[in-house]
Amino acid sequence: MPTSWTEKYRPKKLSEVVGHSTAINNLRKFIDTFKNQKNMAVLLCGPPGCGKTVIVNSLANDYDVEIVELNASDLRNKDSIKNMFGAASKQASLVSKGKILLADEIDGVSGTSDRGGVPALVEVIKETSFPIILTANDPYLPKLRSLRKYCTLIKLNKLNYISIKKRLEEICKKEKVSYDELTLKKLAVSADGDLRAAINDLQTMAQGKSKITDKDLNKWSREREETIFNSLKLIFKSFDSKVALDSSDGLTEDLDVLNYWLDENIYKEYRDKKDNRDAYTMISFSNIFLSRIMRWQHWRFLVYSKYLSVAGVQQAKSQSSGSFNMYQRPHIMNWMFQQGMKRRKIKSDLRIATEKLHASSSNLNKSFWPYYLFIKEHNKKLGKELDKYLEIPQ
Amino acid sequence: MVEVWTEKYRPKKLSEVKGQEDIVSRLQAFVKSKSMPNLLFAGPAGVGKTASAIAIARELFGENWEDNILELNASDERGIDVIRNKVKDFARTRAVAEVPFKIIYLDEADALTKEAQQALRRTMEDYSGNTRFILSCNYSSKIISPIQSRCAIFRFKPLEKPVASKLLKDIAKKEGLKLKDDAIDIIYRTSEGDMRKAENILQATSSITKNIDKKSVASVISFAEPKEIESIVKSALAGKFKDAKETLGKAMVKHGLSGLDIIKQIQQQLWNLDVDDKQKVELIKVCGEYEFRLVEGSNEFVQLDSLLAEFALIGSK
Repeated sequence: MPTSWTEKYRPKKLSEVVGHSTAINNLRKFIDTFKNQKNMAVLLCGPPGCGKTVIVNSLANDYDVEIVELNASDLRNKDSIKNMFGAASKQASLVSKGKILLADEIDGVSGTSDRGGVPALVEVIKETSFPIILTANDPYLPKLRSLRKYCTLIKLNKLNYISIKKRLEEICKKEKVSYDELTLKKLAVSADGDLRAAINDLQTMAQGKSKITDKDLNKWSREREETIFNSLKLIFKSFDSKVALDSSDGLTEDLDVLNYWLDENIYKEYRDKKDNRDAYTMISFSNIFLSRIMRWQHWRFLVYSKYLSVAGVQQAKSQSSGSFNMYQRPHIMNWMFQQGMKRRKIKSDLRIATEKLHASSSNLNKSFWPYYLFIKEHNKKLGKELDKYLEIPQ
Repeated sequence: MVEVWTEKYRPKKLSEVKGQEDIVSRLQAFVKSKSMPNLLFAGPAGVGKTASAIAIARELFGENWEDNILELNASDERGIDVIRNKVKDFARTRAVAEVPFKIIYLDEADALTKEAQQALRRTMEDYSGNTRFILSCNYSSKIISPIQSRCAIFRFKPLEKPVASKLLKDIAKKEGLKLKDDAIDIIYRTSEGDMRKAENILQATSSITKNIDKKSVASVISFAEPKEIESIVKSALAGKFKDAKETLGKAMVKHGLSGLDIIKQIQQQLWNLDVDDKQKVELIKVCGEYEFRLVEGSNEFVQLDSLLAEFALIGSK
């Protein structure tokens, strides 16, 4: 019997998977009509831990097929892909009716040690007689460009908190744990799309209990966040710098993450505009030192960065607010991820356009891109024809 | 087939490159004698540098021109080694019999570091037997002097309004558009003599109407500037920090904007803002300081949030 609830309640069938219904339908369609497909492969992408692997495994169970997997730990040079994947893509499977070839985390294919990896995959896709599924966090990395042409892109969005809460409720019922509605909602919201993290939180909170309430939520948040929560509380509520600095000792390596937490929560705690400004100025300076460390490789700057984030933000307040706020998980990390993905998509399209338009991607970004977007939005037919002319994939 | 107009109406001959008459006549002399030195084209974007280089190749090599010019862009290539290898491959074969050289066009050469430019100088010498380089840049002062001294320098001017106006009118006529004078005014003002931008604005406007007037052009131009920025600045100044912060984060994700894109537009907003002059000075001072922090490489989200907190305080005074 598995002891971890994430294992115990891992979906075995697609019907048990939380959310992602459009993506799952598209994936089913891909398998069902595989013989008539233009693309023999699917590129399944989404943020880390959003359920890519679970979906592929459930899919294989539903269709009763075997999964031949090539994961990050396998060597990804030309020969190993051809040997193992190429052969499997042609031979009929021994043990069951069919198979799916899975290349997990292909954005991990590096340029040097996996020389020839991407072209070899393209070759396999062109000749395969079995469906191929590739997974990636970010499909718009330049090195995946040639691969994208041969794949149907299926995107998984971040799970919303309602889906997460629903799943948590099901688990509570099965585990015979009663719960406070609001507590479960807070837990689901703070998971920020990561169902696995939410289930882990729930299990920790419910350990040896028959009911979970807000009190447990504060008490049993995951250990790392506990430290952060604790530090935030000391920073926002107290005036003793030494205590706050001591409490953040464990955070030193994650100073940028502490800054994101501060950034998300300062304005909720410091209602006075001057306090608020002074506190944000402190994390601004702390952040500058962090970037200077990267630039000059001078790690001693960490001392200043930490002091400004912890003591600086703490001392910025003129008085401590009495009310207690549930500290919010920072959006920044997610925003940075999505913004990066969007930027790489734009860049990748621009790079394609440079071939036809005789100008650099940075030039086109200013003199061409906004107007091309205008056409795409206001005249779909013309937009499609321009895409065709520029050879920008749909 | 639908084309992008900047390509459809790209000059095929040097004589079709407008607004740079002195330069064109000197380049025509090179073509006529089938001999030329290395060239350096300096000038702003969209005034005919690439067009001239391509026209030279077309006139020298005829229908095989594409095999005899290698177009590279310094800002898109992954470093000087990549450029060197491409040059090496390209220079391996000879040009057509009547012309003793092939052309390498390196756009945005000023994007190369000083060290990379030194390496480029070597490459130019190594292949001087059978290639000619045409380098282009915005500012010739950003090109190291050993390269400058090996090139004939041509300074392209921003296109003057009558020239740009004539080019736009010609396109409008061929595309069956009605182009009003007030539309030309606003296109020219926005594009600042950059023909690529001007033609793209015209083509975008034509996607919604055949009647190109001030109003239809303005709708294209305002589309190109995300509307969120104005509301971010206003919310921050009104003390609605939370609204400003969230709108900012979402706008960056939605449009894939960088922190520098954002702060540039915030600065432009400040210019037109209806606040008293003392406040405006404060805001612009703060804006400049945060732009510097972004250029230094700090986290865009953290820095911009801090900027908004400054705005909220200044706005409350």
